[in-house]
Amino acid sequence: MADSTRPPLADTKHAWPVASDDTLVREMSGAGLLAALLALIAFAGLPIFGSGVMTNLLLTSVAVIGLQVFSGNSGILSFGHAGFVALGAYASGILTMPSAMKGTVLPNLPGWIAGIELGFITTLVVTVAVVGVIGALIGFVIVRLAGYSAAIASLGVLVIVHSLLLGLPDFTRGAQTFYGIAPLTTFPIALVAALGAILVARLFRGSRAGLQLRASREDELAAQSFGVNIRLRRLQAWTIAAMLAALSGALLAHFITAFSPKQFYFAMTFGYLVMLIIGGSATVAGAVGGTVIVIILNEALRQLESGFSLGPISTGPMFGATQVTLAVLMLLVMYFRRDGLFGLREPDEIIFGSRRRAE
Amino acid sequence: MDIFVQQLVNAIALGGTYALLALGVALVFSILGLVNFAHGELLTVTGYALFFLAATSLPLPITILIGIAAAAGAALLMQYVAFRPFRGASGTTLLLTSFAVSVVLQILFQDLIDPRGKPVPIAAGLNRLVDVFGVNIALLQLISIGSSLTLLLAISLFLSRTTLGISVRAAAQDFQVTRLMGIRANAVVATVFAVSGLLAGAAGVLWVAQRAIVDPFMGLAPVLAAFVAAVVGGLGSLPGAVVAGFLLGFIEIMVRAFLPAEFQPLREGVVWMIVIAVLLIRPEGLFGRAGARA
Repeated sequence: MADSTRPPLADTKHAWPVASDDTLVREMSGAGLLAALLALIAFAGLPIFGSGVMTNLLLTSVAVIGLQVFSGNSGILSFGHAGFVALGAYASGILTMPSAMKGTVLPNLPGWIAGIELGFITTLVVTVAVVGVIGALIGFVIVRLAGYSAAIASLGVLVIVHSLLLGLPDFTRGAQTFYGIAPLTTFPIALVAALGAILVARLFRGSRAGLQLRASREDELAAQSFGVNIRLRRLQAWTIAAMLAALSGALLAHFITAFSPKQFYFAMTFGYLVMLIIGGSATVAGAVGGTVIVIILNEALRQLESGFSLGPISTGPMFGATQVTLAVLMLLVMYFRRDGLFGLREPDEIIFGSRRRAE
Repeated sequence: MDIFVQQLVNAIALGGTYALLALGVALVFSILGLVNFAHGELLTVTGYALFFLAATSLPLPITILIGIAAAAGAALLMQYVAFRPFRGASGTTLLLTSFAVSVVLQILFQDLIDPRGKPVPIAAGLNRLVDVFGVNIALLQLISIGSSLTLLLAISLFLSRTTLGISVRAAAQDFQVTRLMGIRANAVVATVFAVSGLLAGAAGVLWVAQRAIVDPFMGLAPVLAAFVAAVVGGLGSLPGAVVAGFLLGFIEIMVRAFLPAEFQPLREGVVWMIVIAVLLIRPEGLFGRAGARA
């Protein structure tokens, strides 16, 4: 993976990677540029695809940006991300549901939870905090493992969360649909969340922790010999990733209003990974770009999936056409552009060059 | 006591299947650094081969052999079409490639055959109980244990006695040096995929015989088990994969047998928690070398 096309990570002036004031300004301008672009795309897409699709796009981008924070910076794949999205969705759903509704949807909920009924913003804060703590505890285990073992263990996180959702029907209705959630997530809220996620991810990427983590991705031994506490850095990224996933899940729950555990399983995991890889995992721009491309392509392909007729040629319904196309697209991107479409440089790095100063 | 012996037999039978799968995954990983997500789809290929052959009047042993050969052929095809172009790429790229291959195959099975399960009645008559030293044991379990042990023995003989087998083991240690010694890389890679396909095919026969049904997404549970066993055994360690396969079978059966009924839906989660606990104690796996490529 050590290819020369990647921009150098370390600040050339300092022996030790330090984000100085003007790099911070530059990075924030890059984040602002990316945020503005995403907002532009979201608004431009409104009349074409409708607010439903664009809200979904923005919420998904929050989760994929979260995945970028961990996998992109550390180089370790996480298959557990959808698990945190699920936790966010279920936890927030329970928290905002009116007590009367809880009686019908979750009659066996223990009394101390059944009485809770929080406002939307409070719920978001509580959910993100709680899932953050859970994520940190799980992360503590994950970061002790070496590369592939960590990836497989993260797969375990997904399976464990899934089996908890199925196995605790008092809280989740098990395999049955969890419903009765108020549709509180609107397009503007989703937009704010996505822009916030971009800011958080860029701040982390440029921070000392982010730089050290990226250094460890390029060369674990070298980073370690410079005194980088790799486990700590991975844990920080993992926890931020879990929190962004929870935010995405909580907002998603109040957007789709009814869901079941199987929605937060392998298909979702695969979707996030495809988006991140197609866009390019090393940059936040890659996470956002990948999400935009995949979701919009998905919409176009959905027509195909329900069957189409083109003059004399007509097809019946083709189930899974979207997934096949995405899989093939991912293979092509990995074959021809291993770093993804936007994976080499953030917008500011394209404009100002990669951290090289003009002095 | 009887119940315990019966569960133990179940555990060895399931563990044997997992060992076959994990050995296949570990072999491919040790040579190419590829964690093959599409390994599970090889079982599905075998399952469908058995389903289609059941309609013909071929004798059962021939059907089974063709089913296993189908998986080996599919593994070779997979390597030529999908993995060969990525040789030398990072492990992450390879893992994602195989993930994509797995999804494509699942969708193809679903669209070209049937999204719903198909019955495969090859084990009719094998479900009766036989009396072994006063304990009633399902005949299928005994066949399962017998065939997986035989196959594991055969593979270990192949790996330790034949030139090709020894070159595979050498390549697992250090592929570059093995090539410098004049071993042809393509022959080793093809052998490894054929053997891993063969193992997956055999596991597929046992798996389908147990469940009597084949569906497009059948490969997921076994491939997850194979990953777990390969990682717990120490990725790339062949004996480790086999031992961990049996261990995983044992854990799963014991959890299934002795977990209180109200926690049964949590079964998979409990198994994974035990697995992660093992990894916490030994992050490199049971047989992993510290500092081995991870």
